[in-house]
This record gives sequence, C-alpha cells and structure tokens, in this order.
Amino acid sequence: MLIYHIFSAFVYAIGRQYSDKKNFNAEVDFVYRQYRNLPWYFRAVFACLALLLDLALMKGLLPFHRQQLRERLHRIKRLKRLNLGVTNDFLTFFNGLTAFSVYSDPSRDADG
Amino acid sequence: MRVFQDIVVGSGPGGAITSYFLKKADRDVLLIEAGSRLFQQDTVAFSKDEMLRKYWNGGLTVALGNPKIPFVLGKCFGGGSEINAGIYHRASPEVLEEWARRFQLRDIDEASLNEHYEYFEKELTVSSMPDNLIPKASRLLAEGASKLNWKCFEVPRWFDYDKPENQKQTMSETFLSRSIELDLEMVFEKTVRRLKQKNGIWHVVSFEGDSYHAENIFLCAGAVQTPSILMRSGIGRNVGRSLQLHPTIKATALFDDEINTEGMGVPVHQVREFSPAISLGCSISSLPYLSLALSEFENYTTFARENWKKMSTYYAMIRPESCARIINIPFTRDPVIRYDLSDRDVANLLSGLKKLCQLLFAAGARKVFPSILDEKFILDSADEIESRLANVDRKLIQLMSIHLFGSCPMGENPALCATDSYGRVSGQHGLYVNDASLLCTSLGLNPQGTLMCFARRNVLHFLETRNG
Repeated sequence: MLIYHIFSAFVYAIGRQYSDKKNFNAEVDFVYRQYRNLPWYFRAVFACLALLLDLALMKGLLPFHRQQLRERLHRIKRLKRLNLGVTNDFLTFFNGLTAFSVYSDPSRDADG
Repeated sequence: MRVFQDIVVGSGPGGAITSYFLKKADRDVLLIEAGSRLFQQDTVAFSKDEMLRKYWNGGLTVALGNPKIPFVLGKCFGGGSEINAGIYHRASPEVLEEWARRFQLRDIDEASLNEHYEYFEKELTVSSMPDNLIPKASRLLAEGASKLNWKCFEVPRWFDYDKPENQKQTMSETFLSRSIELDLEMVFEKTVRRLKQKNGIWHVVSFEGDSYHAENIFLCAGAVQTPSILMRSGIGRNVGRSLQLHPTIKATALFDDEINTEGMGVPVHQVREFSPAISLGCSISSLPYLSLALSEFENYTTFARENWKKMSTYYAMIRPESCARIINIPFTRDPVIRYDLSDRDVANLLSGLKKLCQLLFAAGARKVFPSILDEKFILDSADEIESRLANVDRKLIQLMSIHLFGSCPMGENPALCATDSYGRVSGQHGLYVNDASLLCTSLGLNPQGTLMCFARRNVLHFLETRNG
C-alpha cells in the first residue's frame, strides 16, 4: 500500500504540470497497473527505488509522499537535474505514462 | 489424459495460420494463448485500454543495453496483428538470397514463395489506401521526399477499405474466426512454462499449473516467448542468441497547417531512398502519443494539447548489424533481453535521424522535436541539423522497436540454425517453430507478410509430409 501512496504522490505532482484538474486518480490507477505489468526485475527495482526516494526526498520528518504538491514537484525537478541513470528511467516512466493518461481523455479536464 | 494431434502455442499470425491449416486438414488441434479472448472491437486502437489489455507487460517490455530499447509485443487473441498498423511487405530477393547462402535455407525460390504471398494478399485484401483517405501528415512526407528527390511510396496494408468497420484484417478477424467455424479448441490466459516429451507424447505445462498433451507441438508464441519456452525446456541449440529487432528513432514535427485528425491512425507513406539500411516513415500521432513523445520537453507537453492538429510523429528505422540475447531466469516467466547496439548502428540511427529532420523541414516543418532525452533539443531550422546532431551521447537517444524476429533461425546450417528449413526443431521429433523467430535476418521492413508466407509454407509442408 505504501508503494501505491508513493506512486500516487509522484503522479499527482507530475500530472499537475499537464493539467489543472484536481483529480488524477485515473492516472494513478493507470501508472500503478502498468507498474504491476512490468517484468519482475523492473518491478523489483522500481519498488526499491520508490521506497528509497520516499526517504531520500524527505523534508524535515515528512517523507516525499506526505509533502505538499508544490514541494514534491520542486524535488522531482531537482532529482531530474541530477541525471542519474536508473532514477531517470524511473522519472521517465512516471512522466510518460502520466502524460499519456492525462491526454488520453482530455475532456475529463472539465471535471475539475 | 486427452492427447491432441497438434497443440499450437500462440495465436498471433504464425499460430493463427498454423492452427487454421491444421484444422482445415481435419486434425485434432488445441490452441493455447497467453492473452485474453478479445476482438478488434473490444478496445480502441492505440488507446490506454488496448495497452493494458492487449500488450505484453502493458507495452513496457525493454531490451537492456546502452541505450535501452523498449519494444511492444501483442498478448491477446491474434497477437501482434491486433496491435500493429497492418503494414505489408514482401521480402526482397537480396534478403532471401542471403538466407539461402548463409543459413542454407532450402526451397525459397521466388516462384514457390510467390504462391504464399499472393494467397495472403488476396485473403487479407492487401491494398492501398483510397486516395481521399490518405492523411495530410502522410502526404507531407511524400512532398518532402519529392523536394529532396528521394524515393517515397505508399505502403499497402491488410485493410478492407470497403467494410464500414473492423477494416483491419487482423488474425482474430480472419484466420482465427475461420478456425472457430471449424470448431478449433482454444484455451486462454495460459502461459506455457515448459515442454517435456515422454513415450512420443509432448506434455505442455503452463505457469498456471495446467497440462496439455499432443503428438506435435507448434511453437508460435513470438520471437521472445518461443525461444524462452525452448530454453526452459532444455532445448537450446542456436536458440535465443540471435534475436533481432529494428531500432527506431522518432521525431515529432510542428507545421503551420492542420495535418492531424482524430482517428488518423498510422499514415501510410515510407521513404525508401536509403533502404534497406534506413527507412523513414510515419508513426501513430494521436494526442496521447504526441504528449508521450513530448513529455521530456518540459514546456511542450501542454503545447501538444493546444497544437496537436498541426503536429505529427515520424520515424527513422535501421536494419542493424547487432542482435540481442534472451536470458532466462529460473522460476520466472519474464526473460531478460540484452541488446548491445554497435557503434555503427548508433551512427546509422543518427544518420537516419538527420535525414528525417531534413525531410521534415523540406516538408515545411516549423519545429522538430527529436526523441533525445534533453529538453533543450528542439530544432528550429534545417541549418541546425548537422551541428546539433553531430555528437549526441548514445545514452540520450530514445529508441523503440515494434518488429522482433530471428531468435530461432531456420535453415540447414548447423552453426547458425535452430530448426531445419521448415521449422522442425533440430534433434526433436514432433516439435516445430512457426513464427517470426524463424526469420533468419532483418528484412529492413515490417516482417509480418514474410512471417505469414513462411508459416503457410511450413504448415503445408508438414501436412504433405505427414500424409504422404
């Protein structure tokens, strides 16, 4: 369940770059299902990385997934600038799938 | 224990054709499919839903290496034919000549293969798109090529344009439907783990714990799963060491005029001036795919939403010299695929990308976004192409592939081939491969037409020699 919350935190922060809508549950669901579809070796790496980043991107005593949206986005951008191989793959996974999902049904933007 | 005469593993083009001809010869056949029983109308083409329900690993399968190459495989009734663009090519005489020479592949003279090609061209209504339906994004590619004096063609597809719906003549729409009418027995959502032969009977064991039995097995599970099953079964001679794919790099272009429409699908023109080494063509350009293509350009993903009608994605595909290796990890169903792209292939890809950008600017593009992992990598004019693309770090190149083949090459050369010239696995009685794994080397083209041609040739040869 913790993995799901961390994934949700990434998707909400990234999704906000693409759309003003408030509800990104469909995107979280899509990204999480795709994570479950990954070959086991990627799934294991992504799960470890998610847990690690949740702690590595702490602010005070708050793990990444409990932080404010703006703070999370700021931290994601800083992480991206570090240009670390596997972390880049991890972010590309969220970035690409969230964008794909948001624009798969742009009419839902109106839902707010 | 029920023993079938034949078990066919996989319902993609190879498996669909194999099971149809076996069933037509009145044999007792079971078809085993790892995916679900879905038809064309059950998902929208190139949608999120299709990705989740019809692709292997949700479309997130990757060949590891530098750079990594994501590729897609079908995992559904009809396999790859359900999710691809339906593009049709015949193999060139030069490629067939190479297969005969290097792999000692027998009986592949033009006349005998023509019969099979012509059969599918008729049965699947391989045809050109009616002129009034050709998308502007496709015409632009042709216009750009014409300005540069490059050869450009409209590629035929297995589409029946006279039908009001389900125009794509996929396997579920054609050969599998015909097999259902012949009472083909099928099981779904069963992934084959391994094969065992005992007292002349093959036993097929699935990851789900089921067992099936037959006198003959036809492995048609695709270029990754077929060799994996063989390797898990302890059959490994020349298996899984020569998996090939067509590394493809994309570029998205912005034009002044509207060129993209809802439901445009995959445009139909290809530039073959540099083939077989490099081919240029059109790619799926729906809004979700455009936004995916632009997701690394931080400020441009929302730009795609506002300007998608003026944008389209194109590709440069190479015929590589590199090949991949399939590595099975015990007790798991996902093999690891290792692909080390050679420096020459990387240089070829960048050369293809330069040509593609040149073509797009000649066609009137205002901006080109090459698929390079660098948010600043946007080209505003043709003058920038040489300098910007001169020294791109291979780590930053974002590639993909949709064609996989060659992991169990056929032929009589014992140093290279996993099967004989008709797909019978070396040293095994009653075990056959009949899918894209058999194709010896890269065609530099979509391989499905050639795969179907060989699948029919091989299954008819099996029936002739069994009955004769």
